[in-house]
Amino acid sequence: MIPGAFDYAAPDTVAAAILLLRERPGEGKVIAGGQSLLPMMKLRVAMPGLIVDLRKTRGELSHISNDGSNLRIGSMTSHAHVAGSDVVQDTLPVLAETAAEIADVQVRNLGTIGGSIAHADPVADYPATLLALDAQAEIAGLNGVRVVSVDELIMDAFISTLAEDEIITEIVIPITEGRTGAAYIKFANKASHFAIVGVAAHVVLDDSGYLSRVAVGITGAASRAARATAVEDTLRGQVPTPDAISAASALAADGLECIADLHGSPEYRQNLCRVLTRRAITRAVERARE
Amino acid sequence: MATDAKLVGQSVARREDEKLLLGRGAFVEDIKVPGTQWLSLVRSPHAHARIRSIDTSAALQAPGVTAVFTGKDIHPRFGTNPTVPLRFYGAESAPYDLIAVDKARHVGEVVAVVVADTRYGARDAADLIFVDYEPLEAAIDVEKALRDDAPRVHDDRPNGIIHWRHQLGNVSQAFEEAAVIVRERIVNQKIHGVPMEPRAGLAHWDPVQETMSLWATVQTPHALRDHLAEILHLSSDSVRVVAPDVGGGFGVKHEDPEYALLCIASMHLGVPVKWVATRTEDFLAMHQARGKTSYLEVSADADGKLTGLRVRHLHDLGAYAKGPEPSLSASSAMISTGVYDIPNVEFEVRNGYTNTTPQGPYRGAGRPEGIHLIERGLDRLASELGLDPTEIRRRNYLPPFDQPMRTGGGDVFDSGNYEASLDQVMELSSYRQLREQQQQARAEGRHMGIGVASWVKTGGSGPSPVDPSSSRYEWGRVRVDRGGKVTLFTGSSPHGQGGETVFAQIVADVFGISDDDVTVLHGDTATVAHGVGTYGSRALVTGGMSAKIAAEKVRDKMLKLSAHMMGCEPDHMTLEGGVFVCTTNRERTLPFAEVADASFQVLARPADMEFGLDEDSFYQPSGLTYNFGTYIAVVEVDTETGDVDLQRLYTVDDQGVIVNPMTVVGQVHGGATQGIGQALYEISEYDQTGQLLNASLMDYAIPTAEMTPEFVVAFSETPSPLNSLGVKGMGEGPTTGAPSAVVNAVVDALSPLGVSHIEMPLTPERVWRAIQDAQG
Ligand SMILES: Cc1cc2nc3c(=O)[nH]c(=O)nc-3n(C[C@H](O)[C@H](O)[C@H](O)COP(=O)(O)OP(=O)(O)OC[C@H]3O[C@@H](n4cnc5c(N)ncnc54)[C@H](O)[C@@H]3O)c2cc1C
Repeated sequence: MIPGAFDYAAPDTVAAAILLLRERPGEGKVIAGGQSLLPMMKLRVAMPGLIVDLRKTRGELSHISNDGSNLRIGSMTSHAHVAGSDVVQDTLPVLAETAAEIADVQVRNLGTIGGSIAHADPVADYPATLLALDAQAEIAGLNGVRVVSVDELIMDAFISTLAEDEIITEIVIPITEGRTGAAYIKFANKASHFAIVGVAAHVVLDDSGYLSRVAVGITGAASRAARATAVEDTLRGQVPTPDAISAASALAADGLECIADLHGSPEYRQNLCRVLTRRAITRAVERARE
Repeated sequence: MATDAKLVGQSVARREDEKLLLGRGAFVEDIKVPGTQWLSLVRSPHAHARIRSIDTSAALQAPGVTAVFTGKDIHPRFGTNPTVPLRFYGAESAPYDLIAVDKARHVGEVVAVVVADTRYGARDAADLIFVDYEPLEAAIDVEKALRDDAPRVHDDRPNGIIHWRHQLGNVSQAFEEAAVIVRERIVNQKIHGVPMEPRAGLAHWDPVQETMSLWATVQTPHALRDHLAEILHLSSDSVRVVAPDVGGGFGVKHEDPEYALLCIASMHLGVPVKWVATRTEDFLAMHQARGKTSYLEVSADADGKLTGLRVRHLHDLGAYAKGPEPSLSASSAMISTGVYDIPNVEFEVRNGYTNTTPQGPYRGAGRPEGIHLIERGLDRLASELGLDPTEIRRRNYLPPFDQPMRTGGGDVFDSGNYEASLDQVMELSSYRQLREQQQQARAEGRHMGIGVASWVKTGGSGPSPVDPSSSRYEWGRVRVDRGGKVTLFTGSSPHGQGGETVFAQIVADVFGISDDDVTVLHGDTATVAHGVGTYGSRALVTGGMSAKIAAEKVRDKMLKLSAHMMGCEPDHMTLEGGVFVCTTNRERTLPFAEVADASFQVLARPADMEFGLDEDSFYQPSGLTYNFGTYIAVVEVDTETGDVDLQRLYTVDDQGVIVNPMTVVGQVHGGATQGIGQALYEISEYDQTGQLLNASLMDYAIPTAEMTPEFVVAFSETPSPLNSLGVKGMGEGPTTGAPSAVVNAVVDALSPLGVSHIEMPLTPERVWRAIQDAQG
C-alpha cells in the first residue's frame, strides 16, 4: 500500500488551487479528506503527479448555514460535522441521518461532502439523499462560479462532469416547508460498510393527507445514483396507505441497470431496491405525519 | 514475595496488556536498525503461467536499487521452502521453491525480489520488472482439480495427493437398516486468518560472525530458525530468530518463503533488509484455510440413535503442501464423529493441489470443518424425526469418561462429559423459554431461530493419533538467581493468549511465591535454546507443563539444599509460601533467597551437589487433550433482505482445569467471533481463472466489535487425566463450535419456510436466495 511519487501543494485559497491545477494539466488532483483518493493512490489505481490539498481553504469551504430557503453546506464540511449539526437537524435531518451512516468515526471526521460528490462512487450514501432533495452544487472555475444540480454533476461510476480545474465549493439544498418527512435507509455490505443499496425518500403531505411531493433517490444499485421516477409518478397525488406504498415500491428497480459485485447480484439488488424503498417511504410518511 | 494463596485458578491481570495498551509494544515494524534497506516482492498476477523470461534491467537502474533477483538466481543454491513430510501416507509433496522458477502456481506467488535503500524506492522498482508469462489453464476448484483431465499444478505429478481411509463396522448395512438417512454436500469455505498485524521481517546478516538474525512476526520462532538454517546452509546456532510482539497469529504466521528471501537478500548485500507485507499481499500469499468440500451421509434409527456416518472429504491444498495441512484433512474427518457414539463409520479423504494460495492451519485447524458436518447432519436428522435438536444430541452423546478412550472416528479422547455440557447451556440460555419466545415471534411473523451445537477440539499436541511422526514436545527452563528471582525460559511463543501471565502463575505456585517474582522469557531463539511454539491449543498443556516440571526440579533441589543447610532430614523439608520449613522443628526456616544464594556457594552445598539452580524439561504429553462444549445461538432473520441478526451466543466450554478465568473468557470472545466470521461473513472468493476477488478488507468482511453478539459465557472443568495440571487446550474450541451453532440457528429460523440447509458464509444474499428457492 505504497503510493507512487507525487508533488504536493497546499494553497491558501480556492482561486490559488484552481491556478495550480491549471498549470499541470492531466496531472493535478485536489485532495479534501483523502478518504477516497488515498486508498486509490495506495493501490496505485490513481497516480496523480500533483496533489493540491484543500485543507487551508477550510475557512472558505467548511461551513453549514440556513439562508432562509436553502441549507448551504461548504464542500469541505466533514461527514461528522453534518451528522452533528443543529442547523441540519432543524432543517433537513435526513442529511444528518445520511452522514451518520457513512463509514466509521475516523472516516467521518476526515471525509467531506464535496469529495463524496466529486468522487461519484456509485455506492456512496450522500448522492441518494441529495438527489431526493433536489440539491445543487456550486462549482468554482477559472471563469467564475457555475451552479448545477447534483444529478447533472454525477455522470457515471467515478465520473463527474467537473472539469479538471474546477472545485466544488458549496452544496445547496432547498428546505421544504409544511408536513414534510424524509428518511435514508442503507443496507450495507459487511466488509467496507458501503451501501449495497441505499434509499432516500422525501415526501410532502398536503392538508388532506395526499402526497404532494414524493422523491426517491437510490444509491448502490446501478452505476450511479438515480431517482426512482416510476415509484414517484405512481405515488404522487395518492394517500400513502401501506398498500399504495407497497405497490409503488414494487417499481423501484424499474429503469435501473442493477450492477453485480461480490456483495450482491442484480436480482438481489433489485429486491433490495423494492424492500428499502417501501421502508424508506413508510418512515418518511410517518415522520411527515408526526 | 511469599504468598499462601494458590495463583492457579485466579484471574491474575494480564502482564502483557499494559505496554500494549500504552502503545509501548515493539512489533517488527517498530524495530529499527541503522542502514536498513527495504525489500519488495513481484508477485504473479496469474494463477497458472509459465515464466518465459524476466527482464530486470530497468529495475536495476532505478534510483537506490541495490539488488534484484529471481528464482533462477537463487535456486538451487539455496534450499526450498519447507513442505510437510508425508512419508506416513506413502506420499511425497511437490517442492516449494522460494521464488517460482519455471511456473507460477498461484496469484501472489513470488517471481522476483527487489531491494532498494528506501521502502518507496523498492516498491517503485518492482513496477519496472517485466515478466513474460505464458498463461496456462488453471485448476481452481478442488473437485475439478482431482479429475484426470484437470490441468496439472505440478507438471510431474497428478493433483491428487494422499488418499486416506478409515473404516469401522459396516456403514452400508447401517444405511440399509436405518429409519432415516440424510445426505448433503457441504462446503467449508476457504477463509483467511487476518491477524491485525500483517507479516513482517527484518533480516540482519553479520558478515564477520557469519550469523543471521531475523525478527519475524511468527508463532514458531524455533521452527523458523531450523528451516532457515537448512535453506541457508547454516548451523541452527548461527541463526537467531526473534518473534517480538506479534499482532495476532491464529495459525497463519509460520514459515513463509518471504523470511528466507529477506535472509538471502541480507546475506547478499551485507546490510539489514526489511519487509512489511501489505494487507493485500497477506490476502494473496499468507496461507488460507478450511477449503473443504465434503459429502456427508448420516443415518439414525427411529429413536434418533445414530447408526452410520460416511464422510467423503475433498481438501483443497492450494498450490503447495504447506505446514501440516495434508494430514490435518485426515484429522478433520476423524473429528466428524463429534462427541457422539456412532457404531459404523467410513471416511475417505483426498487432497488436491489447485492453482490457489497454499492452505494451512487457522484457529481450529480442520476440526471446525469436521464438526460442522455432524452438527448439520444431526439437525437434519432431528427435523426428519421431529425431535428437538437438544434431544437428538442427548440420545447420542458418548457417556461421561475420565480416562482415554478411542472414538469411532479414531481419535483418543482424554476425558469428557458431554450431556452435562448440554444441560448447563440449556439452563444458561433458559432454553425452554427461548423456544416459547420463538413460538411467540413466529405468531408475530418474526423469524427467530435457535441453534445448538456440541463440539470437541484437539489440543496440546502432542502425539497425533493419525501420524505419530508428527508428535511434538515443548521445552521449558527455570533458573533461580542468587537473589531468589525466578526466570522461566519457555519454547512456547505467546502472542496475545496471555501465556506470560499464566506460565508465571504456574511457576509461582510451584515455589509458593508471588508471580511478580517470576520473569517469563520467550520468542527469541538466542535466549530460549529449544522450543516448538504456540499453535493448535497447545501452549498451556505443553508449555505450561514443561514450565511446571522444570520448576519442580529446581524446587526439589532447593529442598535438598535447604535440608543440608539446616541439618534437617530431606524428607522433612517443605516449601511453604516461599519459605523452607523443617517439619520436625518448625522454628527452623530459611527464606527462599538465602537458599538460592547458597546454591552458588562452595561451602553451603553438599559436596555432591552441582552449583546453581537451573533446570529444564523437554515435555511430551502422552496424548492429545480434547476440550469440548455446547453452544446455543439466537438469531432473528429479516427474510426480505436475508440479513441475519445474531443476537446472543450462549457458550459452555470445558477445557479442564482453568488456570486463569479471565483469559479463558477472552479466548471464548475472540475464538467465537472468528467462528461467527466463518458462519456469516468470510470467504475467499476466487473466480474461475484463479483471481482472488476480495483481497482487501474493503471486500473481505471480518466481524468487528459492532458485529458481535452478546456473549453469555460459562465453563465447566473436567480435568485432563494426561497431565498433572489437569489442563486441556482451549483457544480453538470457540472457533470450532460457533459456526455450526450460528448456521443451525439460521436454518431453524427459516425452517417454517422450507429451508433445510444454507452454505457458509450466510451472507444476506445467500440467505435470501435460500428462502426464494424454498418458496419455489
Ligand atoms: C473505510 C472507508 C469506508 C467508507 N465508507 C463509506 C460509506 O459507507 N459511504 C460513503 O458514502 N462513503 C464511504 N467512504 C468514502 C468517504 O465518504 C469519502 O470521504 C468520500 O467519498 C470522499 O470524500 P473525501 O473528502 O475524503 O475526498 P477525497 O478522497 O479527498 O477526494 C475524492 C475525489 O474527489 C475529488 N475532490 C475532493 N474534493 C473536491 C472538491 N471540493 N471539488 C472537486 N473535487 C474534489 C478529489 O480530487 C478526488 O478525486 C468510505 C471511505 C473509507 C476509507
